[in-house]
This record gives sequence, structure tokens and C-alpha cells, in this order.
Amino acid sequence: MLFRQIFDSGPATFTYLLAARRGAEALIIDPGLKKVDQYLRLMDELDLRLIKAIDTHMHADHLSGLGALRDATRCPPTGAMGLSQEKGVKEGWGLTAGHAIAEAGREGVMLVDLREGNEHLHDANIPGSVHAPCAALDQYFARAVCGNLKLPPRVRGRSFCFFGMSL
Amino acid sequence: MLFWDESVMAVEAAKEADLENVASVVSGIKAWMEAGGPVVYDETISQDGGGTET
Repeated sequence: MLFRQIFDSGPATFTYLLAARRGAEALIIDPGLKKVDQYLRLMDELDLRLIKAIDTHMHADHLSGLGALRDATRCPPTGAMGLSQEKGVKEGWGLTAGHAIAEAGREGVMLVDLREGNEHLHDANIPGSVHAPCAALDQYFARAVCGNLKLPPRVRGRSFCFFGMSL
Repeated sequence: MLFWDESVMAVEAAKEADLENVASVVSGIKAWMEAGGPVVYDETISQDGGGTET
């Protein structure tokens, strides 16, 4: 079995590359954005074909390389719970934009804008939305559930529609 | 066709926080705008991650 641990000292992130052997299919766990080129070189050296890229969690100082890996390899990215938009559509938690527009006018529905930095500035914003950058969402919800979040204080009992920049 | 954006991770985080009524807008704000959803242009949005109403 092939097992490689790659460490990014910047955000102190460990990434893992696994495969049965050289020339086989591979899995990568918690890829960081700044190390994507290194992952690709390593997989090329080992003649690996990436079939799965997983983020086990979100973290404020972890910039995910899932999107860049998908662009480079066409490998579908997946979250820790095995979630993807494709699965979301099948399971009903993936809303089309038309449905989201209809939901936005309903009482108790909160639109959460996940875009970050320059993705958000100089761009169109949805009126009435709450901005909560994706990288900080774990803290956002932790604080919300603990009841000491400044904005918004009214989380429980509400419905959330998340939107970001599609990759 | 495969989709991906940050909203998938948001659904995951919300589920881990025991929030039930959560959804991800497929293809994000691009699809929202293409579907005729309302937008405003504002360059003064806070970036502190604490949540800001726009």
C-alpha cells in the first residue's frame, strides 16, 4: 500500500495520499490549496489516478485544494459526510436557483453568502443575505449553537440556504 | 454533471451543528443571477467572518 503524508507548515495542515500500489487509483484527504502542484507531481511520479478527494472538516486556516484538484483531474470533490452537490440534488438539500429565489421570500429563511475576499467584494450581493465566509463556518455555527453569536442570534428554527461561487 | 462549491461544506457544517433545515444553492450566485434573482452591488461588506447582513 502507498501512503504519503504531506505537511504544509503555513496552515499546519497534514494531507494524506493513499493508493493500493503504483499505477493504481488514489485517494487524497484534506488537500491544501497551496500544495496542489506538489500533489499532482507526486501522483504523476507514482503513476496514480485520483478518483476521490475529501475534506474531513472545515477550518478557519485551511484553504481547501478540492476545487483546484477537480479542475486538474476531474476528480469529484467530497466533504467529510460524503456530500456533493450531485448528491444534494438527489437527496433534496440541493436547491436550484429558482427554488432558492422562491424560498428567499419566505419567513424564517436565511440566505448565507459564503464567498470570501475578492470573490465577495466588487461583485453582486443578494439583498438580505448574511455574509459568513466558508472558512469560518465551523466557528460560525459553533458560536451560533452556543448562543453567543452576535449575528445572527436567531439560528434555531430557521432554514438556511447557502450559496457560494460554483467551481 | 458534477457540482461543487463552498455551500456543500456549509451543509456539512450545519448538519454537524445539529441544524436540520439547510440547503445548498446549486451553482451558487452565478445560477441565482442567471435565474433572475435580485442582487445589489456593495463594496463595503465586512470580511470578519462573524456574519454581516447585507
